[in-house]
Amino acid sequence: MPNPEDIARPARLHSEAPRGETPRPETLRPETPHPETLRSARMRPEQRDSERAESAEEVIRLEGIAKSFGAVTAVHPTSFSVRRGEFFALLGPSGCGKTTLLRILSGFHPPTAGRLFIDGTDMTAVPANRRPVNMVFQSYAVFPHMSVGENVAYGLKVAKVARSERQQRVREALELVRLGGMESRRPAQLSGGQQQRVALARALVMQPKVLLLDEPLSALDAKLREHMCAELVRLQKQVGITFLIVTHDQAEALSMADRIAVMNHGHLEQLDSPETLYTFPATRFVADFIGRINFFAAEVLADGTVEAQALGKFRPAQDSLPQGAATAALRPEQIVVSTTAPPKQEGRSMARGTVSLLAYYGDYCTAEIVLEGREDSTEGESEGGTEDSPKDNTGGQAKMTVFIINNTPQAREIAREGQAVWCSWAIRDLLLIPQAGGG
Amino acid sequence: MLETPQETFQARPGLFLVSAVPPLLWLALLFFLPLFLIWGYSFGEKRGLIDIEVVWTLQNYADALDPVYVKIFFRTLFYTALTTAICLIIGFPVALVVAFADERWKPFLLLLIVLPFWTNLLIRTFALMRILGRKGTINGILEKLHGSLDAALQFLGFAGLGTFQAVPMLFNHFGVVFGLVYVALPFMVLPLYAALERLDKSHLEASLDLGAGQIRTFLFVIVPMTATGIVSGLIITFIPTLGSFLTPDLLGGPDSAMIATIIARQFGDANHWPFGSAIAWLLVYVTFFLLALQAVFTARRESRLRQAGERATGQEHGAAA
Repeated sequence: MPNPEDIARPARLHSEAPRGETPRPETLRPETPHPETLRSARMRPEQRDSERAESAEEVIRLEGIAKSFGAVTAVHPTSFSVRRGEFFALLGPSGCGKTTLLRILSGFHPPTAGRLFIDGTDMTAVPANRRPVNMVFQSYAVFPHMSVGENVAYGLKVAKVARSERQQRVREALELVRLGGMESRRPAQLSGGQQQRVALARALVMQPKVLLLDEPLSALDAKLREHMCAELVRLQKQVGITFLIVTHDQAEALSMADRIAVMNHGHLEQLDSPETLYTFPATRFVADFIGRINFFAAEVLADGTVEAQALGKFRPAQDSLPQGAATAALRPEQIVVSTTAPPKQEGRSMARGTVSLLAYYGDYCTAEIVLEGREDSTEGESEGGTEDSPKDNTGGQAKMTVFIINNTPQAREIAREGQAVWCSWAIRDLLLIPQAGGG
Repeated sequence: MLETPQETFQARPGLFLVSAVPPLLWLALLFFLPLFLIWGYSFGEKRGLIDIEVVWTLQNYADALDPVYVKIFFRTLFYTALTTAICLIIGFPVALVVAFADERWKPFLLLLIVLPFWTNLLIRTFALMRILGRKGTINGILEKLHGSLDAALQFLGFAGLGTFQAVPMLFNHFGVVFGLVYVALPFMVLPLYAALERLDKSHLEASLDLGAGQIRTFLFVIVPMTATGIVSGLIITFIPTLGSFLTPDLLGGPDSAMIATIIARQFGDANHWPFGSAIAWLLVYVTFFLLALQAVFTARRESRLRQAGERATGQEHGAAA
């Protein structure tokens, strides 16, 4: 059973454009990205980045950083940069190497290969206690034998900051995380959320070049998590420090980050803004991992048209696609469902089908629609991905998952199992992922 | 409804009593009764070879305060304190190594620490004598080294080192403290290891991350966070060492007797049970005093923390997370 939140969030967060009031450092890509661009995004992100990096100063640069533990490779050679002042997210399923990468940045793991620059200085061999970065630990790691104030003052004491300045900065840091006046409290008397704020204040008070956050929201309950998301974004804007967050939760990453690096099996899959990642995923893994998506087996023909068993023959919006097997992808919210045949329109496709599986989530339903007389041979994604993604077009009948907004007259008609419906979609919304790029 | 074993136990006081009686009897018969008898004897007088009459005299305690015995008493305290301190200094790194070792090696390393318990103390002590003795293993190695160095120096035309003088390591203070440390070390390492094992390692990383070095992290994070383990290690090392009898007897010289040796002599050769009882109880009083001191210290620390907490809670103006 899919978790309603997981499904509800991506679409909503995306459409609400949560941080619309500030212009993102990066404008949206043209609607039709060059496939080569997409492919290179996966292969050599630093090259693609370097074209734009001139304007935005980089605060962290990884050059071929790799890490193995014995025979196990946690991170394959990876290169990318983090820009000064941005909110950067490392996103991926557990075991994808994102935490290892974070620990390489913080200095707890020496990389097996590659070089790490922080603010232009080679920090590859510099130990953790001499790096200008600070970390908020997943377990908070607030010192239980010290008061809140002592915890926040710890790093300043080490740095031999004078007493009066120290007290001033501790007070300011605590006010920043809304723990003003709690200096004398003991960590044991604080809630989990408050302890995390102490950990935040303790790291921020050091005025790091980059604040590293290791799964900061994973231990909080759903409501508090949502609140803390907004809080972190507010904090980041207020202090202007570069935040680098590690998370496995795509909704967190999409809603908070300016740019997201998606990792899988120790590889960097794609590095882009949330909108670009969601709209133009470079690989099948990224498409599958972020949000919900329908996959269909397709083949790019010599003349540039695409033949898909489930979708028919069409000319895709992308050009210069490599000839051969590919995957056509379509987001559920891009599919319009109606009980009557929609009028024929240039640039739109349609198919008849039957509602077969309904899942109710309160504000909306997901419906699986079995397409009439259409076959599909897309294999379920074997690696990575979320288990409950609507991708199992395995064997024979073509299916597509759609969203139905509840409590509308239309929903009452459609949301019935066995109901005959029409699905239609814009051909330009079909995203083609070449097989090679699908990992 | 199926009860948990604990609920069953609590719901049936009869069952609880029945299972509590044997251990209580054991404790009463084999611990409290002898202790009480000895306490009584300490106020007694000898009547003939084996008869003792409890006459509530304090003479035995007065005798025990004779400078000869006071000196032995303080020597015992000194040995014990020194042993405990050395155990802490050696034991902490050992516990750190075990606690931070790879999971694969941990059971093996722990086994190495408890391994000495598998052999009788007497046998181990005799083996130690063989190692520390004038003709023992260590002096043997030293003599060989001395010989080679001497030959080398003479070959190079320097003056020789002279004849080898064995390093005295047995039948003196060194032998006693060495033996006491050897016996007590596992008792120190195990509670320290347990405390370190419970320590969330991310606290250490947080300390490093905030710029602290290894030494500062050790002193200001590891030590305070394992304070309870350190205190139990100190107690569990100090108390048995205070009553050591075999080790000073076998490894010590004429001037390194500990108080337990004196007590044993009163119950043995000297056949003066009332006097032996008085010294034994003096030792018990010292132990009680130290434990009480520790309890007061802990209580004060806790109440200080609690007070700080109450003060802080009083300040709160509903500032929620």
